[in-house]
Formats: sequence, C-alpha cells, structure tokens
Amino acid sequence: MTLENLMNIIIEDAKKEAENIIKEANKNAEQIIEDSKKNAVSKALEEEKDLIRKAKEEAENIRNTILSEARIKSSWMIINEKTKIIDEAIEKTKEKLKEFTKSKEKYMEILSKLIINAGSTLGGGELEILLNKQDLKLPLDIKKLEKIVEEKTGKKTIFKIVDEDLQTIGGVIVRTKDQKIIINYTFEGLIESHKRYLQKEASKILFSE
Amino acid sequence: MSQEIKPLKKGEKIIEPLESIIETEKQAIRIIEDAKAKAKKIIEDAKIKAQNEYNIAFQETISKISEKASLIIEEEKRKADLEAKKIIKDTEDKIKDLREKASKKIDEAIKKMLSIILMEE
Repeated sequence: MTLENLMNIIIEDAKKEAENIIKEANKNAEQIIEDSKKNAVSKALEEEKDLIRKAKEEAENIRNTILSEARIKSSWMIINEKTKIIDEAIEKTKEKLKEFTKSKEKYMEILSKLIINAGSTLGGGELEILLNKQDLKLPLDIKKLEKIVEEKTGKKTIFKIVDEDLQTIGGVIVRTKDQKIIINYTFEGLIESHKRYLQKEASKILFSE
Repeated sequence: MSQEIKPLKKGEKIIEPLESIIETEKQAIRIIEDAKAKAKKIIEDAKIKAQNEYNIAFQETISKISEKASLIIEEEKRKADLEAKKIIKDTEDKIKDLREKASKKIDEAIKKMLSIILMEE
C-alpha cells in the first residue's frame, strides 16, 4: 500500500463517518418533529374531555333557557286567553244588564232592592238618590222604600231624587245629604267593586273540566 | 482488497510520510468535526421546527375539538327550538279547546255574574 492510498483511506473513512453522523442527525431531527406533533395532539386530546363537558353543560343551559321561556310564554298565552274570555263574559253581562233595564217591572224591583240596601247601609236619614235620565221616569214608590228602610234602621228616612244626569246603564247612587258617604250601586259600580269575585266565579264555571 | 505496507528501504525518508499521515488525520478529524457541527445544527433547527409543529398540531386539534363542541351546542339548541315550537303549538291547540269549551258555558257564567251584581245571592 502506498502512502497516498493510506491517506485516501483515512479521508474516505472520515467522509463515511461524517455522512453517517449527518444521516443520524437527520433521522433524529425527523423523530424530534414527529414526537413533537404526537405530543401536541396528545396534549390537545387531554383537553378534549374538558371542552366537550363544558360544551354539554352550555348546551344544557341553552336548552333549559329555551324550554323555560317557551313554558313561561305558554302559561302567559293561557292566562291572557282566560282573561280575554272572562272580559268578554263581563262585557256580555253588561249588555244583558242593559237589556234588563228595559224589562220595567223586574228592573224596578231590583232598583228598589238596591235603594233599600244602600239606604239601610247608610243607616237611613236624609238621603239623596241619583238615577240616569231614563230611570228618572220610572214610577218608583219612594214612600214605600223610605218605610222599609225606616223599619230596617229604626231611623226616619227621607229619599230625595236628584237629577244630576247620571251616566250609567242602570242602577243607583245613594248618598247622605251632606254627600260625605256615597254608595255606588250603578251596574258599572257594582261590576267594578265585585270584579275580582266576578272573575273568580266566572273562571270557575268557564274553565272547569 | 488486502493491502500491505511495504518495509522501508535503506535510505528512504520516514518523517515526511508521517507528517503527511498526521496532516491527513487532522483533515479527517476536521471532516468529522464539521459533520458533528452540522448535525448539532440540524438537531437545533429540528427543535425549533418541532416547537412550531407542536403549536400548529395543537391548534389544529383544538380547533377540531372546538368544532365538535360547537356542533354539540348547535344540535342541542336545534332540538330545544323544536321542542319549544311544539310547546307553543300545543298551547295554541289548548287555547282553541279552552275557548270552545268556555263558549258552551258562557250563558251559565253570565247568569252567575248577574245574580252577584243584582244581589240575588
């Protein structure tokens, strides 16, 4: 072997080793990158359970909100409809009362009863009666009514009919002479004062199964 | 291929060839050292690239999971909306039924209210 051959062998060996070193480095580099990707996916997947659990919780909350709003809306729809039906029934009752005022005798009987009732509640004495224009024309037996109230209260009673153009479909207002105490037995007044009771009773009938 | 080193002949110089061999060895060492340096650089670059790849892969996976999570929410919302619509539709039907039944009892209700208003009770 010549010296030149020996030197060539040394250089060739070194080159081969260098090549192997680079080859190994490249292989390691690829592995490092590959491992890193795998780690990233693995780390992200560890968070998956938590993210999905949170999403399910949020979904449940959204669902509850939507359904709860729908149920509240449903309840309001039914309440509104019931109120509407009751209001319609009260309106029809008013119409019936208006018709009823035309049945002279029966109406006069009720009107007398209302006057007696109001007069007794006020404790008798000097009282004023207010009626609408039409009812002023009715042949009410005021003396008889005074007598009945006197019997009920034990106090002399005088009814005075006052023309103040009372705006009502029917009924009466009775007040003390000094106007300090007023009893409103007009049909509108009676409906208003009994409104809650009327609504309750109408509701029982209209919506019972 | 087997090669053998021939013995020196008388008078042949020994220092110069040795120096050449030493120089060649040094050159060989440099080649290997260069390769090691390059290898080190390759690994360092790979580590930087690995960090970038980590971030990309992590974000991509998280995005896919988030998409899945959004779908869960959307699906539940869609189902709830349908149920809510059904509740309202059922209520509308219930209201129709309610009105129909009430209309049959309206006269009785009016009669009752009249008796209250006219103090017949």
